[in-house]
Amino acid sequence: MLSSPRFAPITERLFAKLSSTIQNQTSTRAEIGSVLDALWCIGLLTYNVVPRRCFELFTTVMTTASHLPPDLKWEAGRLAMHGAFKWDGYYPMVAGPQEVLSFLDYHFDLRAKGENQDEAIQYATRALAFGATPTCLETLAQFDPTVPPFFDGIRSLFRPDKPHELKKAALCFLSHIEARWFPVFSEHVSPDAVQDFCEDLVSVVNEVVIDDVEVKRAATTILLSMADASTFRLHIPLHMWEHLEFVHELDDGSPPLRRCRNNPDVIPALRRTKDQRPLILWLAILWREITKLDAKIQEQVIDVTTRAVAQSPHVEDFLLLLLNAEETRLEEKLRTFSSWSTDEGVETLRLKLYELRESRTHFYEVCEPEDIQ
Amino acid sequence: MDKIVHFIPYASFLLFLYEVLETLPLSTPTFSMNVFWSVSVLTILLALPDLQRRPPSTLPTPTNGHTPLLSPPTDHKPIGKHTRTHSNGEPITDYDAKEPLFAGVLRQEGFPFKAERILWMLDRPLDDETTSVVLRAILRMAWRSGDHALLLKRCYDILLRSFDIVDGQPTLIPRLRNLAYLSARAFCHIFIQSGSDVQGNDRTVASLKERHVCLSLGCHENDSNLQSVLGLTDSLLGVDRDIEWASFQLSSAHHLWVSDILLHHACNLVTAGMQQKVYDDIAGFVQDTFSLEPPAALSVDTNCTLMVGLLVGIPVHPDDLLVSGEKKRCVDLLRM
Repeated sequence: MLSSPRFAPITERLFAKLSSTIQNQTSTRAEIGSVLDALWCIGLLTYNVVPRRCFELFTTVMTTASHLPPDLKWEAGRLAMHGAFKWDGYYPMVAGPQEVLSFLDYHFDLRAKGENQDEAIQYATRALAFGATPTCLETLAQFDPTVPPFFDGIRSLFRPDKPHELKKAALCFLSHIEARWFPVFSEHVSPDAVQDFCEDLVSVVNEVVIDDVEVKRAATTILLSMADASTFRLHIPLHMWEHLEFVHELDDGSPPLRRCRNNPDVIPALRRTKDQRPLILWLAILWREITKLDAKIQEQVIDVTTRAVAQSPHVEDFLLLLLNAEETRLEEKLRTFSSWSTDEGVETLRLKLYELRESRTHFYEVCEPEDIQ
Repeated sequence: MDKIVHFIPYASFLLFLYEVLETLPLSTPTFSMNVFWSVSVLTILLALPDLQRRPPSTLPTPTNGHTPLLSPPTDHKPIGKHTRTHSNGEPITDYDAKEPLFAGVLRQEGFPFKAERILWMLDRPLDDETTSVVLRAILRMAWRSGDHALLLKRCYDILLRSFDIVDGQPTLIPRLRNLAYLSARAFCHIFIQSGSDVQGNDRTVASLKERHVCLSLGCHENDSNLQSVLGLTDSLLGVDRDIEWASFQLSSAHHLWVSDILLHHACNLVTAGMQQKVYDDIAGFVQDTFSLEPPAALSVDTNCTLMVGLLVGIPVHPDDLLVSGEKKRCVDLLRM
């Protein structure tokens, strides 16, 4: 993506003209047609001013162009979205999701009528997946994705025949709305449909997860959401559990992580898997903050850890290794600040480090009680 | 008499040059002739402005209804009006300006007779190299509206001469590739800059269209520059065939020239009230340019953006487009 101070004024002037023509209620169909032609061309430009301006134009189209004939309005919206979200690596900021959701709603409707709207849906999904600001994510959390046509539309995004980029965007979008998707999903479909969706979802994760950190984070969020929801937990294949190793990429306050930590059904589900590795990873995640867990979960963790260590002494080494690695990570993070800092973030880090060390001491007590004595 | 006296130093110089080249032990006859003709063309172009500075009364009057080749038309403007000066009032010569000869001398606004001069040169029995020099000169000049039908015809003839046309099927003569390329460029350059692309057909252009065969059909797959300019020529002469811009790999200089000339074409269309035709004629090129990876040169992108601006009614004056290579002015226009 290029930037050029010399080039910016031309595009600014051009977009001002496009915007004013769209907003002008007396614009003729031919004039709007010219705007669409121009958008189709200018949307291809690789200057970073273009996506930003295209998204502004999209917002203008969606909010102020009700006077336009519907076909022109939606075409203008599609072209503006194309200009805004066609490039990887540079996404305009989406402050509010409402216009994008309206756009998505319309195109999911068209999809339901048999039209292929993958491209338009891909851009809208990218906007919500990669461009959403924290405010936008908060608003998005209130959105109910199980209403028609969203429910079927979102499910369709994970079908094997969809383009790679669409699947990637869909995975990240789903990670933003997971709290209102996985817990209630089974209420809307048959058990077979749940299994089908799970299979699609898992294959999408396998296909796109190598791409980048953001996608890995989304895949881990979705794994935790599935692990938390009883109808989905059963369908998680062994290899998907291995995404637990990316849990450290998530924020500490990640809602699905919090829910899973307090869910007593997760450990039993992991014990039933054929491989012990996901269980050990999950134990390591829980041991980081064991003192904060529910008493019931703490009991489970201690019980399962004792059994696992009894079966294989390497488990103890591995868990210790992970706890020490976590300690190093926190110490390194802390080292970037002044030792005397009383900043709230620094205080939180210090507290976490303290709790981690406490947890490790507790771990020693559980695994090697005779050494402690 | 004055005219003869005026030409004596130039003629002496050319004679001297010819003899020197003949006597040089290392020069081949072809090399000597090439050098001789190139310098001759340049010398004549240098000599003509001086000649035209003579008072009109001293110029020979036409005889037998024919205008002598070197005589100026009677409606010329005095050249002194356009002479640039230093701050001390002394005139700036083209040597002072250190500009290319043609750009320096002939790009001046309102400079008369350039078409006549070029025509005169092209009517001489020039070899291919010298013809190329003249064609390159055409490309450095700005061709405002005017009747350039004869010059167009000459360029077109040179273009056709570079092909073997059997049963309406053109085949490029490989050794004349450069001539074909330059003549096609010169043709498009004059055709579009003089506004022939939007004017009603005059007789010459109509006859060109009538006898035109689709030249881009010939096999030039590995020569995108040539293929694209032949495509443009075809399209200007009424061949209804899309130019596949996406299949070309244009050189930077050629890409810039195409963007310049298409911008001019778009501007002509808008000025002539044919706005609805702009998209059809430029969209393929603009979309291909904007999709290039790595991106095209900034000047090319600027030209394309100006074309898009024309689509939605942001005006650009055709005169401003003649300032080739100074797109900043166009940018400033859009800032207003």
